[in-house]
Amino acid sequence: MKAANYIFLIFSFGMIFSCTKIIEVDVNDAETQLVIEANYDATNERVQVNLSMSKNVFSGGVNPVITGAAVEILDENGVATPLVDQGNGSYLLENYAPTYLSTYSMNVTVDGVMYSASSFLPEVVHLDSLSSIFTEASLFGPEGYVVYMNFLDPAGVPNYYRAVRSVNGEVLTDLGDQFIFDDSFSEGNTQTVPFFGDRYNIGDSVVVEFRSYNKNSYEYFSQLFVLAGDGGQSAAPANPVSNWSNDALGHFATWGWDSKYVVVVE
Amino acid sequence: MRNLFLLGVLFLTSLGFSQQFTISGSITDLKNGEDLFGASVIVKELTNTGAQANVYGFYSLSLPKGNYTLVYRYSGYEDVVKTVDLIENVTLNIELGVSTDVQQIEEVVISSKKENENITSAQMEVTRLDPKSIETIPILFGEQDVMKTLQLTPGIKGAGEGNAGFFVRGGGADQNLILLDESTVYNASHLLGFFSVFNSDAIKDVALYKSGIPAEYGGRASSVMDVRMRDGNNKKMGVSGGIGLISSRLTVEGPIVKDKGSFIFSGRRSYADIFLNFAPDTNLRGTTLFFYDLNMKANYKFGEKDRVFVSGYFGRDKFQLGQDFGFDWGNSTATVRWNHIFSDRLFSNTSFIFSNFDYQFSIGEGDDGFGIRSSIQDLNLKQDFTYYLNSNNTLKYGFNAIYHIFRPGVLESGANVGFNQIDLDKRYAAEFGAYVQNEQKLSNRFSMFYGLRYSGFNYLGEGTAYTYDSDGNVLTEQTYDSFETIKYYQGLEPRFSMSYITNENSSVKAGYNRIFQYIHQLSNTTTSSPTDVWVPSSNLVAPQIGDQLAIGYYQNVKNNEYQFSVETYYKWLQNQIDYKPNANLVLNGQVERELVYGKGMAYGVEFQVKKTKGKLTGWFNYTLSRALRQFDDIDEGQVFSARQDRIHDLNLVLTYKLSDAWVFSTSFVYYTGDAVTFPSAQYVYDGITTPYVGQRNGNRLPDYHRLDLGATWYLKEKKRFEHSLNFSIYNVYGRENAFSVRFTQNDAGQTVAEQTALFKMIPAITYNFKLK
Repeated sequence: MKAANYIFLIFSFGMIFSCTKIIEVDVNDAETQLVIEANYDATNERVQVNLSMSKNVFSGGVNPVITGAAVEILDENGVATPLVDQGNGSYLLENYAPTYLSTYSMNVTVDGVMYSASSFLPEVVHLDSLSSIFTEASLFGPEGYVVYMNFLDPAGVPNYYRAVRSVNGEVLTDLGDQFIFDDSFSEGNTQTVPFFGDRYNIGDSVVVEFRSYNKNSYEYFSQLFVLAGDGGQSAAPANPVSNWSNDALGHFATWGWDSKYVVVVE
Repeated sequence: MRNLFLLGVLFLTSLGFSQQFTISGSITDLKNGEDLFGASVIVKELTNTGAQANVYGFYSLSLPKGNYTLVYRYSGYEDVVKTVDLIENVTLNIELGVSTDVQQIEEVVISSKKENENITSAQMEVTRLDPKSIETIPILFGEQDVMKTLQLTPGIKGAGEGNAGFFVRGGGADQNLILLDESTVYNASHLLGFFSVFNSDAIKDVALYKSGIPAEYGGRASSVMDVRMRDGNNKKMGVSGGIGLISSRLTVEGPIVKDKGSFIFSGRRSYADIFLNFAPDTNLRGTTLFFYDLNMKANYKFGEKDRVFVSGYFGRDKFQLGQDFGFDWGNSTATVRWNHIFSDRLFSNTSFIFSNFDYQFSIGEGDDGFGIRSSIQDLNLKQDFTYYLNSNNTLKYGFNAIYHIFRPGVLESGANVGFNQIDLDKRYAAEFGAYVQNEQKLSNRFSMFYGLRYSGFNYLGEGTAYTYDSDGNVLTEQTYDSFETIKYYQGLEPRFSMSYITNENSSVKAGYNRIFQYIHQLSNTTTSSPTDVWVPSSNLVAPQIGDQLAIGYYQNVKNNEYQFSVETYYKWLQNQIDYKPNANLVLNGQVERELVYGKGMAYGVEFQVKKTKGKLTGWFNYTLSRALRQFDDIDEGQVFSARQDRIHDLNLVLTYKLSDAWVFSTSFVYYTGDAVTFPSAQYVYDGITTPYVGQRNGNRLPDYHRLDLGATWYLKEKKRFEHSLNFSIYNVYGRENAFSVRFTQNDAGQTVAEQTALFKMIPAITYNFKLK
């Protein structure tokens, strides 16, 4: 073919880069709302509630807290136990023994308005062990040890998990460290679930608090993490669905946990 | 259906006609034998009498007995004049040659095929491009692209950088029927939207219908983009190609048997991944990231009355990050067509069409990996007739039947991953259409087409149909056997368009169309992705219905050199789809429970001035429009802006031919920033700063604007060789247009809005050549 006789010259240069900058945008300020963050950590037998208010997006400072509210938790039989106001927006009850597979309720009264929610306390799934495996560098991270959780997903029921890890004594609380998942792809299977993005060195100690959530809490926290994480990139963004009455934001969660730790060795 | 055909027959017989003879034949290019779709024949002795060649180059014109002078005309070509003494039916096959002294074709940037067709045709404005005429317009990375150029025309809005989709008059991105040789293209993008799948070298013609959509088209609520591949040179072999910054192209074409049949084979491959080897992040090096396209077509004339075409497209994107992550997707289509001329007045085309789109991605490999696959497949039989009743009536009728197979998702998992194998139920549907339409000239000034399309959709087993309560829990479920009807939908779709010529240089047109759309694309991200799923109408998802009324005024001045138009429209959209909070669309067998339904309204006015002749050509347009939605489940039923609700939209495209060697071009784009949802408050939960979502699409991205420049240098032409260099600069003044805005905390803990822009200035160079 004649085309073969021709020499093709390629001149190409490109400057491909994306760039970010801080810009001024207008937002529509909504009225401030009560936020109720309520957790019953059944394994620690500890109930904690934090009350705060939302604030405008660009107003600095911390979110205002609410003190002087009346907060109580009710068991399945309707027996109410009050929480103690700590004076800093936090309300606490300790040594509150759980009944698994039962539903708890909570009432929060602020300025004469009562906000109620209820939550089912599921059974705790046992975490068998943690293991670590050396992994080559990849796009997901440099070379290093990846930690895996090993457990058996109970068959016949949907399960919802959240794994909170502490590395060398420090609890990871950043948004990017949140790890929540369900068994919809792995129902009833023996699981080895990695913390894929994390790379550890020999000698690191990793503790995992392996929480068993109910469906409602799983959805709330999934929605919260997605929303907080993408910063408004979704075409159909929505606030996490609150289980509180009277339009309060937030969630009442009841959960127990199992824990294991591993020290990374060669 | 039966009634519809009866109606057609009745209609035919009621028209009646006197003793007439027919002149028919083909109009083709003298040099390469390509059919000249839209070329016209004008009868000199009669005002406003003539015919146009259809997409296969066929024309038919019936006149009373007599002597006539026929002028065959096509923009950029030399007229051919024939005289006939019409005493019997005659066949006249005409070849038109490119004119030498008239302006070269590259000066006609966007043209109707007849200089004043924009005035005279009954069809409301159709945006028509041929790749040759847009080759000098500057485009990102210098890669000529009909889809990107269409987005510079009124009423057609690109979904933004890094987005494949486009929006026509406020409709959704899934409401555009994209056809390549009649085959549906489900995902028209490469490299996540920076390029379209249409390789300009293989394409003859693109027509985009945005109002008064003819009855032969159906299935998408907002527009039809009809792309036709070239047939290939049936006179002699040719090789052409180009080398660009991002991709290279090569096309081979030639006769199978001279004047009887030809083939074309055109390929394109990108090599963007070469640049990744220079990436600062070493993990990106060795990444595979490319796409390719193959277009193939052959046609052969069996005698005077029969012609067969076989065409195919195969394209794929491949994205591989070592062994960690792989993602590839692509379309393949195949069309077999048979043209048969039953008589000099009755033209038939029968098509068998296959279309497939699939994607797959994998994470890890072997026992430690898993992958997801999904696809949609169509088998389509289409029969179209054109009956040239007389010089005042052209009747089109036909039907088509499509069998859709949706494969929502398969999960395959390695032994160590602990995932179950998941194979979501396939879904099946049969879609039907039958139509009749007449294009009628009522007087020298008044012409119209009116048509009716019947469409039906049969959602079929085997499968399970669910219903859900408001929380998404299953209420009922029922299983169906193979080919058992789960749900049947049908509708009548009136189509109408008319023009009234007020004087030789101006006309008023109006059009109305109703279209049912039975399959829907689900996407809950702001950027399009190959993983956006297509779902059929079902027991829960009703068909989308689009109605549009449009009115336009057209005025040409200075012998059609300047063409002015203003069009206004109102569009109603029913059964629009949106998503519940945190909707999961991937690998979800019960995706209907994630959906909410509402309606849409869009209206606007589009102004355009085109200059079609001279050294300086181009167009300017300005559109003032709104695109709104209303859903009972979103913001308590308040009306909100669709993302593409760009109130002001302005485009300027200019091409200046300095000499035979140099052509300069520029384009400028400005539009109101997309409607987006920003937070309207924030709170802290679990130690995480969380935005409080405000009103849907109640905020705006910063306005978008950009200037591009291009220059084409036609190097010295040899007898059998021509070549050129195209230089372009995208985003000349480096405007940082917002791709996204996210809210994040700065070091002081204060929330700030951070904008990401994709491209600042991008220079590019492309070398094109052609062996003649």
